Amino acid sequence: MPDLQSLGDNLQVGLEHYLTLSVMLFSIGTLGVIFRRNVLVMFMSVELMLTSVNISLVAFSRYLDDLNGHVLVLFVLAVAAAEAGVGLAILVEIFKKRDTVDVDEFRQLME
Amino acid sequence: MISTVIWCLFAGMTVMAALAVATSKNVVHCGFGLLFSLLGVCAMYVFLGADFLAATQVIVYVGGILVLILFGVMMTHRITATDLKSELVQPVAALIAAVAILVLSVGMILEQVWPAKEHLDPITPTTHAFGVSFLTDYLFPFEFASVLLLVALIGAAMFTRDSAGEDSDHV
Repeated sequence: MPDLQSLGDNLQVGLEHYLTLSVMLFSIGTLGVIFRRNVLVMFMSVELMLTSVNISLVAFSRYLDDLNGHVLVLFVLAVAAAEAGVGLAILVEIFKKRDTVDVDEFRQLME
Repeated sequence: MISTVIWCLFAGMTVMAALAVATSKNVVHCGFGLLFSLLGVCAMYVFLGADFLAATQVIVYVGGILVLILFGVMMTHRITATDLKSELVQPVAALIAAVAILVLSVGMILEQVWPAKEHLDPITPTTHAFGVSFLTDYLFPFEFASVLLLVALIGAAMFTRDSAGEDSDHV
């Protein structure tokens, strides 16, 4: 039974793998934002994009041995939490008035 | 070897769940896809030795933001409604944008020479260094983030207050 540290040492995964995973998540998030007209799903896709950037920040932080990336990730988390709170509050209010979550129907500012 | 297999399993879970978020017709399925995707990202943090961030990821994203989004789904999803548009629009534009980002970035990643794996330090707890940097180098952003969260909290509460303040004196 190897301990956790030697398990980590045997990992055949490099920085480029983490970056590729991050890019894949980011492009899937982009896909979701453009693909869908449901505000909630677009919201989730934006969260995915934020998280994908966090992966690459932490990976760089690990491979360059610099903790500042971790700190930046924590600030991204705080901003994501604030964004989710305010965004969903606005969404619920719009739903009460317009009875839909379709972004194509949200045209008050244009009319 | 076995840790590499576990890494690939978590990475696959993350990507598959993210695809479910982007393409699933059912909004609740999208929410659960986001749950598994965020848990996979948490596993990536563990592999990268970011212990504090892994815990924070679970608490803030899975415990906070995801629950909030699922509440949003429940508040806006009418059971009888069929006009909840979940179909896919602009598939060509979306695919072009996503594939372009993917191909260009992966090409750049594969071309670049990255720091080698051999120079990695052993994984150590990060909490102490976190605390020190928050109270020294990052003191102002830290306080600013707390004010931002407070503003967002009060703002969200004001938005959804159901205009109780206007007629509260009648009650």
